[in-house]
Amino acid sequence: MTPPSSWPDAAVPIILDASAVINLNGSGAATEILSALQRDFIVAQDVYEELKRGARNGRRDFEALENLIGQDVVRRQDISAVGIDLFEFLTVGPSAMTLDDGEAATIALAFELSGVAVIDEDKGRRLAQQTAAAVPLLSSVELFCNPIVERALASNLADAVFCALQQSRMQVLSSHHAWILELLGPERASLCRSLPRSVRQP
Amino acid sequence: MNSPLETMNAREVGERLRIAREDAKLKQAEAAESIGVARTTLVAIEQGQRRVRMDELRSLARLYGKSVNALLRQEAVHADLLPRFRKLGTSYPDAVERAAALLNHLTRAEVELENLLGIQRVRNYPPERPILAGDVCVQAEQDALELRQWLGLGHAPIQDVLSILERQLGMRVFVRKLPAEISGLFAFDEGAGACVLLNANHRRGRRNLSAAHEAGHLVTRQPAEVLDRNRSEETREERYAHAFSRCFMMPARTVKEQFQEMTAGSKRLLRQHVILLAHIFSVSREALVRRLEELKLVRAGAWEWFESNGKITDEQEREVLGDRLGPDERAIDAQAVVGSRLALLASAAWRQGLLSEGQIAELLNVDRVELRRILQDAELEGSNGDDAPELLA
Repeated sequence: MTPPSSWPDAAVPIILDASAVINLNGSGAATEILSALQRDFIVAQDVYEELKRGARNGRRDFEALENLIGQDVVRRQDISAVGIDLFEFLTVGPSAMTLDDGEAATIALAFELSGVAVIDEDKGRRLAQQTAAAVPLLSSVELFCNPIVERALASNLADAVFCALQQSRMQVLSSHHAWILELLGPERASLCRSLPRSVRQP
Repeated sequence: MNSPLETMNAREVGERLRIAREDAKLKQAEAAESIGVARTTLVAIEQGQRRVRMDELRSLARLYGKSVNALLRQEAVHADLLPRFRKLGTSYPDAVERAAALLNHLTRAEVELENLLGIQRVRNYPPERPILAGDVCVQAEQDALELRQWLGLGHAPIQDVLSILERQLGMRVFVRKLPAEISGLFAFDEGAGACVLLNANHRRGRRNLSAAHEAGHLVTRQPAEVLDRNRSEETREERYAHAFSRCFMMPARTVKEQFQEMTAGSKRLLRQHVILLAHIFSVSREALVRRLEELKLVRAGAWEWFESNGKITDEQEREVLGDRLGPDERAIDAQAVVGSRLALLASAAWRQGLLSEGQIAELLNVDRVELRRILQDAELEGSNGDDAPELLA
């Protein structure tokens, strides 16, 4: 069962938030997934900087992102004058109405490039819809449950999703709970703390 | 649409940038050079005489290792406790500088989360008692007893002094792992209030005395102080706080009464006496014996005698106290990357959509996956589990 998804045309760039990069890295299959999808995957410079700061604390996500960039499956780009106003609106102001720089830059860059932003968090998705309603959104799980990825990873898909849930504690939107449960089965799903209790203990 | 940056008070923006630059230990000239402006321009920006442009702001934020959002979200707290420590006039080692930075960081995070969640910390600070001329130890004993009366503690031993500081006085108390030579730090800020950082690596009894020592600084309204083993020349303020902690934790009358009761029928001070009395007063064995010496209940040099005659060991303590020796909850809490209270506040802010994952990760200085673990562990119900009973108040 494939959940509803809003995949754009092949030419549309896809902007990955730090959360999506971390989830892909956690899956152990980032290169396979992104290569199979054959899209223009971009990380905003602010996301790159955030993961770079994380590397100082011993995280491996920056190294993994550098590998993805080295393999030409992801590229990085800074926002320009076109997206800077949106970035400002998303970073300066009341806490409840702002995001961190990486999340804001992901939305601003998607707006600037007429691309799609991959964002998991409720707050990020809500503010993206409020400030840049024209920017389509995807979630990390939708990178995994795309039919192209399902075919490419075949029997390894469940392991990749399980690893993303376990290693990166990937957040899953409620619209994808049923897909996750069907893919992993109740036993493995019960081991994933990032899933709500209703999914872990159906 | 009005630019949010332009609607912010330029002086406030400049002040936040100055604090961030100083946190990053950068000179104005270095910061100015990195964004390609003259030093005088940066000075004007920091003084609010010239508005910073968004491109300059992003460059400065990167240089300072912060996000634009952490610098300029409305509720971000920019309490700057560090100058208070620098003004102490002592040349502190890096370890103290790092500990002061940690206290600063924890205070900022807690205040911002409390403000966001509408939590009003009740301050119930005792009347100020400036240090007067004369014997500071005599004044400390009077002030400690006065504080006990003011708190309604009477002369009874105190089991959990940290909770008294937090709940009854409204002080901010953090317990984290610090280098062995640092027992605690105290800072008083009008906005954040009285803030204390104690060493989780120290045993509970010693930590309790450090907490009482910092309460002594609150009584005299010291702006900041470091309780540091390496400080050779104690100030009057430090001598006061040391005496205050002893008298607050071990009031003379109660110690004498407990001592008399405990040692009835014995002609010598035995190890089990020390262990039991230290346990009753929740202080270290050494502090207890030294207090007995001070009160002339045993001869001077009693502690040194134990030290040179096989010491009083932890194993002996376990034998004497058995099940009474409960777990050191604060030390256990300090094992976690983020303390349980901050974790719960962060979890609540995240659940209510007040802060995003990225904002909290930066606020708490943890990486995203660690944060997810913290948020999810703080909610045993799971990230979306919301069928738990509702709170009525």
